[in-house]
Amino acid sequence: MEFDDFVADRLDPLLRYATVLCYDPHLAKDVVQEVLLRAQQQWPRITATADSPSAYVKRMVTNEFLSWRRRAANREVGASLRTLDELGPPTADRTRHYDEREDMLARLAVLPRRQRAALVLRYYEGCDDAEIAAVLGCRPGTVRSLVSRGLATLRIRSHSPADENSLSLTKEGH
Amino acid sequence: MTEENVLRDSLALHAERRQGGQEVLAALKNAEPVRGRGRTGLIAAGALVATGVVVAGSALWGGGSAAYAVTRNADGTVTVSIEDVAAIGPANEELREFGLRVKAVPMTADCPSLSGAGSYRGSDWVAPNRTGNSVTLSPRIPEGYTVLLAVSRHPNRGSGLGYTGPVKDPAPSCLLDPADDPEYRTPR
Repeated sequence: MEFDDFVADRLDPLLRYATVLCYDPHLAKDVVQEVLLRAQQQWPRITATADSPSAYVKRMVTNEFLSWRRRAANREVGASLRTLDELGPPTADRTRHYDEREDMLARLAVLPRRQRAALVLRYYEGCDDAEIAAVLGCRPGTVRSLVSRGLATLRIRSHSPADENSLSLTKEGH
Repeated sequence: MTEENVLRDSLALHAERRQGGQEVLAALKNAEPVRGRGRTGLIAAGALVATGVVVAGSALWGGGSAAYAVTRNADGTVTVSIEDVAAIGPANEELREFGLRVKAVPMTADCPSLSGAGSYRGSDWVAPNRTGNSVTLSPRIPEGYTVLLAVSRHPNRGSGLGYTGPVKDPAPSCLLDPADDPEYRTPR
């Protein structure tokens, strides 16, 4: 597949994925742009060696998000606060018709990045523990812990026994 | 609706807020002189006529088939195929004899990443063109830069032969295999 064809096919899904990952659509655009510029430069190598260029580039986006936030913490914080302000306070009164999904997004926005990435991969991309572990470069047990901690912060009770067990073990460990 | 479903809905809702697609496309288009290798087509396949100047490796690596081949074409381009990392040395000798600023290197797990290396920023070079398991290279490569041919050590991975744009000399002697690149953390 030529790079142009890849972009035509995958740009929109990548932007969607990056948007839920980064929370800030402006940052998501920057992350996707940075990754695609690099992928364009390395495209022959990627297509020659990667089993799935699409999965490969998605991993690049994930890692760019993780490293980008480390490199540009000040910028990220400013962007998130601005976006949060647009959404309203996280504890907004439901009687003011504050959509529960917006409430969820606001809480999701303040999660540590790896927890957020794990939750996005689980609940947006539909990945299982092994797939998330491959993207994040960690063990499946770590993924379960990240997901459980994230869900706990979001005050979500998972219906997956694995997540509950993982959270129990994590709490016992402290 | 369960809270988990609210989370799924929230993420799907937020994904619709994506923006900047046209800006990304514009950035990619503007970067074409630097990174336009994949979209080339500058060398029409029909224009490639071998002149008989063919150097092929012998069956040192078994099977009776050539481990590499370097062929000069009538239009001045050179077509290269390398099927084994062991053939990199002799293939590079032939490339040097043809005067091409091209260097075949193995992809390894412990090579430094090429990211950050000086990539050529101009547009006055002709991108390689891959056909099947071979890559056709133009001699029009800027002075002081080298195009790298990346030879995979692993079997059954695409053509096993990739290439880079011109990178500033001195050219590295290896390229980091994307599967081993910590920057991307590609699963093995």
